Amino acid sequence: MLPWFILVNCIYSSVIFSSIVCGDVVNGERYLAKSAVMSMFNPVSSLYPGPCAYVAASRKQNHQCRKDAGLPRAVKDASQLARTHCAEQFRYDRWNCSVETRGKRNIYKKLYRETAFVHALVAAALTHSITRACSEGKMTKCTCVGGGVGGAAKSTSMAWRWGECNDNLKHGKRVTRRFLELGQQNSGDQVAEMLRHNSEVGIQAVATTMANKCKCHGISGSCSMKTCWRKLSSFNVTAELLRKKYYQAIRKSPSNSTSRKRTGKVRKHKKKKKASPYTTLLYLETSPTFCSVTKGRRCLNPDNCSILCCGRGHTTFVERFVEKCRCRFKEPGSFKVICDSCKRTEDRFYCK
Amino acid sequence: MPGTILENLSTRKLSILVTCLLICQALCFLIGGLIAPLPANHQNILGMVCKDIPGSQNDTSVWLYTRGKGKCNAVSQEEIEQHDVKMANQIVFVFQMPIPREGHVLDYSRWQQNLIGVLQVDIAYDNDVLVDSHAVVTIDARLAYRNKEDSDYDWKLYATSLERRYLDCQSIHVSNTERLYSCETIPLFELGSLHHDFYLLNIRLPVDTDMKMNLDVGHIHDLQLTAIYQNGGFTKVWLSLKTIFFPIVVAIMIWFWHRVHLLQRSPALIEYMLIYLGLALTFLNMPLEYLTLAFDMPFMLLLSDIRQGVFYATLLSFWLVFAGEHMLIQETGKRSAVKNYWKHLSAVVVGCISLFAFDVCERGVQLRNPFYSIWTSRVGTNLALTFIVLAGISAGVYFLFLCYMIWKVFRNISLKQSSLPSMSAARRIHYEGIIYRFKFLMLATLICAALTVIGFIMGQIAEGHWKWDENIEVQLTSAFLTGVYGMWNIYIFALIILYAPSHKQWPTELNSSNERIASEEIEFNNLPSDSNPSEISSLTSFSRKAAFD
Repeated sequence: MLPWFILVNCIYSSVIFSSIVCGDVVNGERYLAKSAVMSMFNPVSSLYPGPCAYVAASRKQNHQCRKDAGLPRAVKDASQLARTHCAEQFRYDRWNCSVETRGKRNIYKKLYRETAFVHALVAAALTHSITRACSEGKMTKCTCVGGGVGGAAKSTSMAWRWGECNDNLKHGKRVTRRFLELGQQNSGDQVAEMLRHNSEVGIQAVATTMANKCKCHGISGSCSMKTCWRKLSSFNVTAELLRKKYYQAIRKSPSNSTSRKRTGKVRKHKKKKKASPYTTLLYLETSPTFCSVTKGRRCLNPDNCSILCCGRGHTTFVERFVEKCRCRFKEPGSFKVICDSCKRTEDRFYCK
Repeated sequence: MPGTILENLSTRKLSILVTCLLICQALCFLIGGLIAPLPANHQNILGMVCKDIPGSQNDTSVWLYTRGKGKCNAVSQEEIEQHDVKMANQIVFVFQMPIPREGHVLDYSRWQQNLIGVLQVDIAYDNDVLVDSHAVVTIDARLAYRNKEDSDYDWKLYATSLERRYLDCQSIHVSNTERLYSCETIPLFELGSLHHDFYLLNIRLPVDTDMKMNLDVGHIHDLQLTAIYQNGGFTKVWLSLKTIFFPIVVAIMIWFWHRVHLLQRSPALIEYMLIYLGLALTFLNMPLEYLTLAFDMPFMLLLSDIRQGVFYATLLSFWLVFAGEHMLIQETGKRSAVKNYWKHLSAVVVGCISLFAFDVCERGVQLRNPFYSIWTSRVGTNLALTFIVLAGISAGVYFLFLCYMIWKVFRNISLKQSSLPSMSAARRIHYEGIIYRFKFLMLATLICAALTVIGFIMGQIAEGHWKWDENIEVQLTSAFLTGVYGMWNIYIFALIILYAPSHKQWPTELNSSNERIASEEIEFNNLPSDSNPSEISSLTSFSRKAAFD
């Protein structure tokens, strides 16, 4: 992976591949977003006090981190996953996934399309990394007792022997909902409800991108017995799906009619039909053009540049690279590696 | 000469018996649906990457594990990405099974019977290395076990092997700029017994320029193992069913054979076939799995295949002989024996032998090397396909032949039915009754076979849907398995009872010791011209009589 993927949230200067000091999000303002999402989408500058360590966590979240030793690490992974993939997905878009829009404003102030995307992405990343951590055996809170006959009454080892241990995804979803506090529908205001919806979209995106795999193990290996499971796909696939949802996001006009009661009804009705209501991202405000921050950005090709540079035009540089290539072992079985150096030139376009 | 019980049983008694059997059948289905969990479950385990201990390439006493005292330190993905050759030959993928849940260290129970490992590779896309669909990955796999009373580091070697597997990957476009590989799952190992508490799998992917090993597979950054095991609860329910069916079928067989031997004649072919069928079912019902709770029996997978194979082969042969014995146009005087049916049965024999050969090549060899699979080499694949195609052809030939024979039986019956009106009223009622009951049994067979097929298909569909997010009340897959298993037991139980010789016309001293059969039953009289003592069914006697006309 190229190093500039990691430098997320940073204002791009004209020099690529040089390190930039990333600005922290200004505290003390009233944000629309819940602090967990914001905090996870920020680069970790220093460890926070409290068991969650990698994010500025609330009391409830710290309580969860204390109970599950694997959670802080999963949160950290999720935060990194969300940031790198966001930057990767929006490399050649006007919005380069930075939190700042212009000056000291940022995307959390209002519910923009971008805010919706970030919420979905963070929830997806958290679901992904918790599910992954479950299958690594790192999470201690991945439960075993599922449904079935008297499931809740049984101990974990009893349920395991009998055969009621569940899919890892289920734990991932549940822990994510609890961590992002998606379970309770607080205060019933429209913005909070929409953010919750967008996070749900992210969680569902992980589930829909999972691949079905099956193994036949009946008589003589025939399919008279078949076990299927779902495999977590690479997070690239999920991030790409969410990017598509970002383009297809629907703007909802602000209204006071969307009360808690009504949304509850809609959910129940949808549940019956078994079609997930969480397929499209919702936003309230039209996004800024982000044209003021595209100066000096790299673009993919002249077509892309015309959009990205907001009509200011672009400059083309021919850049030379020296890379290690054709790496091989010095002698069979040894750990010593020799590589050649290869020269490569590439046309690169930058916005004026 | 007495007929079979089926012919002498009154309609009322027959319907009571059928009702009882249907209730048993429903019970079997409900036991599977309401009590048993899914037949098999799985755990997805992501391989932790640890740095290899230098020099351990050829040393199978070195084990890397991820939990417990002396665990290895995980290498982070970034560390591997930054390395020039992605730390090839220096890393080990470690899978420690089972993974803990809710902070509890879980262990495999012997009730869980078997363990199947399936590997899933995630390959990073690299423009320089294009993984083609026939790329071969070489896996140095080592499996170790440990028991609860052992210390954390006391892993003992179970099996080791250097295996070659086809990757079968396709590159897919995620977006215009991004590509990814989507790879098929790789079957890795099959353990016929789950005798120990913990298992540990260490996987190395040796890269060797000279031996052209793992050069064209790109950078495998994630390995995920899916460990499939039979659910303990399902084993318990299954074994309980076996424990119930086993003595019942044995008892009914003893009763049947006793009755046959009380006759003045030697047993007829159908009776032999019935007892073979009973024996095959008893072999299948034998609750041998209890022994696995105490002893390590890795051959159980092979044995259960053989047991099922023997049972189905006997059942298929029985149907052929059954149809043949009711052909209605047999020459008199000639005793029928199994060898008369060698042409008919050859399809069953060929099919069974080829499936057995395949099974020995796959699961037989797995006894020596659990990582072995016949499908991984080109020669093996062709050989396996040959066996399976041969078995498939035999199955096709068999079913065509069986259908032809049944069609012939029914044609003969309908031909003879036309001569029924010319008979006396009492005899006509009897004959009609026999034909009705014969058809009834044919119908039962057809229903059983159809239910098996439907059950199989439903089982597939039920698993095709991902319903375990919701709470399902009825575990359909298990219900179909126990239902079908119970159904064949009940079917054979009914066959043995109904085709047992009736003791209606036995000498009085024998009759007095058995239950008195009430006068409500329709007495069956043999045709006066019939003198063949070997017959068991009056239907055949009727048909022979008709053939004389």
